[in-house]
Amino acid sequence: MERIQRALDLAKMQVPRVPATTAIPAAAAPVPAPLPDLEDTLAQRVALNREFALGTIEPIARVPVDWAQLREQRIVVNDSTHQAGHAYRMLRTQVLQRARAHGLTTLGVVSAINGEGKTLTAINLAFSLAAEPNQNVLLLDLDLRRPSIATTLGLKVERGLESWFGGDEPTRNVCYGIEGVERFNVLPTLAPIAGSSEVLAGVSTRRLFNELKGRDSGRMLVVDLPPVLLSDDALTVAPLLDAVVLVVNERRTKREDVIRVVELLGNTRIVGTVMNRSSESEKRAY
Amino acid sequence: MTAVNTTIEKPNALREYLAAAKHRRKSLIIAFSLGLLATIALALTLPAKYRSAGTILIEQQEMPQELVRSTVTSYADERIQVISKRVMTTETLLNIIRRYDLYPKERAKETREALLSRMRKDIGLKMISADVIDPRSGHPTSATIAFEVSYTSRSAEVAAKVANELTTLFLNENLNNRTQLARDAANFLESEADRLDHQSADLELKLADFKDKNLHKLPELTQLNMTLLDRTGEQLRELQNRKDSLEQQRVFLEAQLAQLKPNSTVFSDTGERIVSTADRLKMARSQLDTARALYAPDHPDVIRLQREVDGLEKGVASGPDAKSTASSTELNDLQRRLENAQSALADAEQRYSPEHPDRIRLQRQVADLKAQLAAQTAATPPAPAGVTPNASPVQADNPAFVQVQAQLSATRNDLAALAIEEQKLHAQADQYQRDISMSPQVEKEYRELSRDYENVRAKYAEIRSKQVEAKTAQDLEADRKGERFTLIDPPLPPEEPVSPNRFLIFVGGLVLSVGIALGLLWYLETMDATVRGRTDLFNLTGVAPLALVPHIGNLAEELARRRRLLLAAGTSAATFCVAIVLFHFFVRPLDVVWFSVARKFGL
Repeated sequence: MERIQRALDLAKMQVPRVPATTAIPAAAAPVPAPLPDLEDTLAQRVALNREFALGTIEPIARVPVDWAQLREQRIVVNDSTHQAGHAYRMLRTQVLQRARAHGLTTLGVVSAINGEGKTLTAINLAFSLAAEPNQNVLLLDLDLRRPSIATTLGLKVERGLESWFGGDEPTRNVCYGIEGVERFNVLPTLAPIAGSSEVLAGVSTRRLFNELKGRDSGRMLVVDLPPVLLSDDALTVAPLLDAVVLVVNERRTKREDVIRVVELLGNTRIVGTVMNRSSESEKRAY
Repeated sequence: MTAVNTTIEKPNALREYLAAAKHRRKSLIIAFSLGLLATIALALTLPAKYRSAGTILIEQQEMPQELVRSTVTSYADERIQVISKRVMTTETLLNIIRRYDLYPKERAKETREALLSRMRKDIGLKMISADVIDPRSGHPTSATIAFEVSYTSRSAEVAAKVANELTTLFLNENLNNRTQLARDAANFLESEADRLDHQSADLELKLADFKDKNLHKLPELTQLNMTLLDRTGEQLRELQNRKDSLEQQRVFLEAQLAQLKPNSTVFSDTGERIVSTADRLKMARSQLDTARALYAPDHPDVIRLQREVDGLEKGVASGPDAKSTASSTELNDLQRRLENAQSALADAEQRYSPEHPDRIRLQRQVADLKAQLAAQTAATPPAPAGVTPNASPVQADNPAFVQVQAQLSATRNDLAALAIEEQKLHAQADQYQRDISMSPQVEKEYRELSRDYENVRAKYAEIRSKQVEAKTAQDLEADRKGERFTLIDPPLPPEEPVSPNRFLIFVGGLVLSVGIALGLLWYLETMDATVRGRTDLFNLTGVAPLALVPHIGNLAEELARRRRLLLAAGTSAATFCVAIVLFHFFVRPLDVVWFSVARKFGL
């Protein structure tokens, strides 16, 4: 209740920069809190809608990033000649094709154990997707035990999803754009969250997903997940995802682990695999 | 899930291996380096061994073989082997070990046998052969012309000393050996000659004995015996002729004699023929017999006749040779009378009944005569042999008769003599015959004996000549003019070790290290359970990966890589320098290597 109140306040304070989108299926969205004591006023509705329609509006801030530093962190989006960039573009195209064919909007990035390049894949995939015209991308760090997107991107922000889960931040406040990158927003987690499994299993997570994916069907949600075999976090989140991309690190991931992950993810669609540190690679882009 | 049913080709195995090797290059390099280091350490730390060798030439006999033939005929390499066995006796080797203080460390803890086998292993004996044509058989063969005695030791000096000692031993032993062999041969021949001498003497004696024993049966006398036999046969035939004629003569004379009366008939004045006393006795006896049969014994006629007979008997007995003649005559008479009486009795028995007086009388007469005959026979000794029954018991007085009788008796004597001579000749012929028939048997034995004898003599002569040769050969060996060993290349302290071949060890270690690295790679790859390649991933998940992201390098990595590279280069350079220095000091000086390389390339 309190949060809604705050949202209302916020809505009153801020002047909307972008007009609200025409189709706002607010009632259809499975809002976890039914708001019984909320005054059903138009203003409130408008404010809420605005907030829910986050994807189409500008994020709270566009933070600058050091591209050289990103390159050092193996973010190769801007490096069009690098083989890896080519590989990610291939990945992007395939993912997009599949997503469009099957109407997938939330895409998890998982791996068997840590250190196999999940986060890297997630970021690079997200950047690649964003580079596609008319494709909005939202990068979400749900590896609550060891969040690393913020550090990898070198985001100098104060609040992340940990604050959101703490319950005193509007979603908009933890959503950041990046200077120089269009159609790309990121919801980083700045610090580990205790009891991540329970948090992820909780209602707030469900609400977060609903908030993020419900508004704009054209927006792609890329979720960085914890390792499947090291905790149940990924499995907890899995039902909320449309599909996952399985990251495998050549000569590091064990065969049995791959099999186990496939078994565990059972019902979740695996849209495909990415082989990291591959000795064979795609042909160099020309 | 999207169905990507494209089957992915299995990547090239070699490429896979190369990728694996690239991935594991660190462990491979470590394994390889460790192996190589161990090899180098081994190659450098193995103690050097020096081998010193002396070459001994086998020089042929100086004198031509045609002049003096050596009694040592074994092949040189065979003899070298024998000598080596003699030289390498336990005692000799132990002496050498003690004298040169060999194997000081091993001596403290090893058994004598182990030491000896060490020593034997270190001693080397190598034959140096040349391809020649064997003068004896004419076949191409390889002859040992020299040999090499060597000793291997950790010290060059010791190796040379011991090799020297061994060489000397070989030379001396050969000398001794040859002299000994020559002496042995000479001695043997001498004793053999003695033995044959004895044997021939024995046989000689035996032969003489045999000849003595079979004097006439010797085969060389067969011809003579034959001749003698022939001659004896001739003599026998001649004798037979003479005997035949004498026999004829005898028959003729006997016939003549039968026609003549021994006594010429004498007539009395009255013209009555005077009967000789013997005849009268005969008549009286017959009358007496008749009278006895007719009458009783005391009948006067009987008594008279008895008296007359007695008187006549006395008269006859008084004559020369009366006794025997009388008795024999008497016997004859009795016999004749008995026969007469018996025939009369047989006649009477047929004609008369048993009671007939005649028959009874005759029976009595026969019995009486039998009794008389028995008595007479018992009294008279048997007539002496040779007395012709026809001989007249009475003195013949008819001159013709006497002459014929004399002739007859001469003829008979001649015949008897001839018989004796015949007998003798027969015996002689038999003897010759026997000798001749025995001759082959004797000949066999004789031949054997003489052959043995001749053999022994021949052998003796041969051995004698050989003995002389052997004596010469002995002198040859004693004067060292025979085949001999000459040290042409005395053992020197070697300047370079013969082993270990450090280079070979190094190369082997290199190969081994590569093998170890490859083995390690294989092992790691086999044990590795991680995902490798998209094929693997495809097999696991059933779909091909959407993207193959290569390793994304960054600046930090690049810097680290450069640092490592620099470090590796520095380390390699340092190692190389150290290796060169070690090579120079421990393996072979670099300048030597340089020169040898330069020579090889013809610079």
